[in-house]
Amino acid sequence: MSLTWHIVRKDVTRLRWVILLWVVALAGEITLAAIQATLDAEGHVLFYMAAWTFGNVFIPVIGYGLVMGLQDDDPVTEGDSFWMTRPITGGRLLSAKALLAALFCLVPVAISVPFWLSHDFGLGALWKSSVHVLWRQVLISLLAVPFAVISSSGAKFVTNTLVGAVAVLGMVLLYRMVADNGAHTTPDAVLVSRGWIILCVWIVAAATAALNQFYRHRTQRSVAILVTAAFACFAVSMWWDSGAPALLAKAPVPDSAPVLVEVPAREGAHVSRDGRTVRVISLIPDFSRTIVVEVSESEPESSPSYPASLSEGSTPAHRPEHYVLVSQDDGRALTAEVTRSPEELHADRVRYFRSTLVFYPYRDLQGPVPSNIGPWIAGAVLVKVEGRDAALFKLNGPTERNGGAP
Amino acid sequence: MNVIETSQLSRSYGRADALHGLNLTVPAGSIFAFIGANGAGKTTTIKVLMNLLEPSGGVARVLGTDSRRLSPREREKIGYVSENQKLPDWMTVRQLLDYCRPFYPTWDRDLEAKLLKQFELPPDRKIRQLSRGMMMKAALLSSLPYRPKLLVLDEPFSGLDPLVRDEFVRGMLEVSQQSEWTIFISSHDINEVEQLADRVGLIDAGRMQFAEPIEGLMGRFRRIDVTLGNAEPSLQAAPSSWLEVERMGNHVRFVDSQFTQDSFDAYRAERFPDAEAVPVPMKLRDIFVTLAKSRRGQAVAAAS
Repeated sequence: MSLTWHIVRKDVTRLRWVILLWVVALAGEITLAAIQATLDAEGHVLFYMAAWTFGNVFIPVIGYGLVMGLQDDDPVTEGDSFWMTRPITGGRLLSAKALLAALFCLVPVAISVPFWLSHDFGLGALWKSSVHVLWRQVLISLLAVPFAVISSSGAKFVTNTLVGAVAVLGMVLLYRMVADNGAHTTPDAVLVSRGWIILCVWIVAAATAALNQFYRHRTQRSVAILVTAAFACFAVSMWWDSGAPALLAKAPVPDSAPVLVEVPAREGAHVSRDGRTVRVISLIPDFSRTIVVEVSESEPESSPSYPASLSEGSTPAHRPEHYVLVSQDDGRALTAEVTRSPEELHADRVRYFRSTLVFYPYRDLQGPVPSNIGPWIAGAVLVKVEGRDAALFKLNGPTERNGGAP
Repeated sequence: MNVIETSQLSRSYGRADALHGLNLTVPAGSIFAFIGANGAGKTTTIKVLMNLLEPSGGVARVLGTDSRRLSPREREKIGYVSENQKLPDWMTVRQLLDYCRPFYPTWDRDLEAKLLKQFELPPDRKIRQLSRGMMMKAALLSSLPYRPKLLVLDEPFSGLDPLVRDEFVRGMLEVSQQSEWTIFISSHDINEVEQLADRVGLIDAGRMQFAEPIEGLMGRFRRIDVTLGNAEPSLQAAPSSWLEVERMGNHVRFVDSQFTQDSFDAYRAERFPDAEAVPVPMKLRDIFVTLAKSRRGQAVAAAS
């Protein structure tokens, strides 16, 4: 074991500056998100975009590069790598690399924990948040490991990644053209089922390729395994039509009456109901021929609708909701689906999440569109509709305001 | 006991055969020079011995173990230095030694310090900043302090200037004086290893041509210069041990590959009775050139 740690120490020494950069990026994301949460109106946009960029660009890219860096110093492809001529077995090297990869997955959690604790997270929220953060790095590793083990250098890793990305893009395009055809008719249960199967196939393929490389160094065989797995994943995405197995299926949502929450459509307006608060952060009319409204929602941990897991809370399909913008000018209304940001923030046992609503008056409003949209939305009301039958409340024409049945 | 032993070893790259039924034995305690032209199969043989490549057929045994099953216990007794090997070049020389040390229970820190000083390597310089010669010395330095039973060197002198080469050799001799070990050194240039080796083997086109002690080899090879008298020499049905037989006017030259004083006296009396025949000792390099030409000639003849 000590020799395994010896290899781990060597890798940490080699990657120390990248790790430092990564830690700074992780801390930066949290800091920006924390600042963003304290701001209202336009002030938040800059921090929101910065936090988004950190969370969706910098951190994944650095995390992906770290996996490459792990393998770059000790290639497991054929050749005379330094480690192969020393008393180091493939098993020992694999243990060291797996250990460090696991530590890499834990680092984002370790960095976030003090922040979560300082915001009074309970055990439940801590666990959910940890799983959420852990999952991101695990997914990155799952993508990077197969490319790392078949590449003899960093340059080849980048090349292989690009080839893989092009292949995936091709498959997505093919899927769009052949199977999906833009109709979005595949039931959610089938999509969930496909997602799990694809994930399992890829995990098995990645593990097999890694074992083959560490123990046998047969790169061509590993490439064949990965290509086969990619085709298998594609086949699943095309033709798998069964719903999720019982174990993976989510519990059905009990019937519930639609809930309507009404808030004036102006910046800073808010309304609270059952401990949950909906706040309008910004409202930008006629922006690229749309009306863009950003809404912040907060929900205490004690709330009965507090999600069992963060991913569940971020899945609109599981708890359908949408917003209706009703004008007081002529009583006409527009509907927008919720585009919920996956970045949720927990503070003081309350979770916050931000939604961006986009309304399309030129497309959706029945009758003539006012030349100046400003007066049309002055004094308008934003109605949040949620619940299992919320979809029934989608509006296609003139309606009564204040939550009346359409 | 043989430290290295191969039997009918073969290795192919796709359709190209790099080794054809290679049989090789390297006795313990010897310094074995593995000679061959570029592309003859030296590096492939070494990679199979070190389990960096799997053989397509046959068996290679190193320290009594099948090369495909070399465990850390055997690796602790093997040193490997290759011109192709990628060292962790982000490390300093000291970091390289610190990294290697724990893997070898027999690592001798005094010897490490002595060799570090002898090789004049800057311990705090990164390996990527070292010259090629220094890099090879760093590789050797990381392979000597645990006193390996077998040191495998793949073209270690390629591209090194004579001064660095001498330091390299002195470093190896330093250890060889203190421990029982075997050196297996490959080179395409016999001059590089002549002073070091006590056994030599020639590989050509993936086949072992011969392997024997240098002393014996040099003892049985002589260039025979014959100045003819009046009698016409009998060159018909020359023995197969005569190589590169050529006649220029009243001179005949050939290489006797099975020279003994008795046999020389016998054929001189029989074939060149009134001629003056002088046996001249050959340099190792000349022996190899003669053999290589001869083998190639045989191959061409066989093919035609």
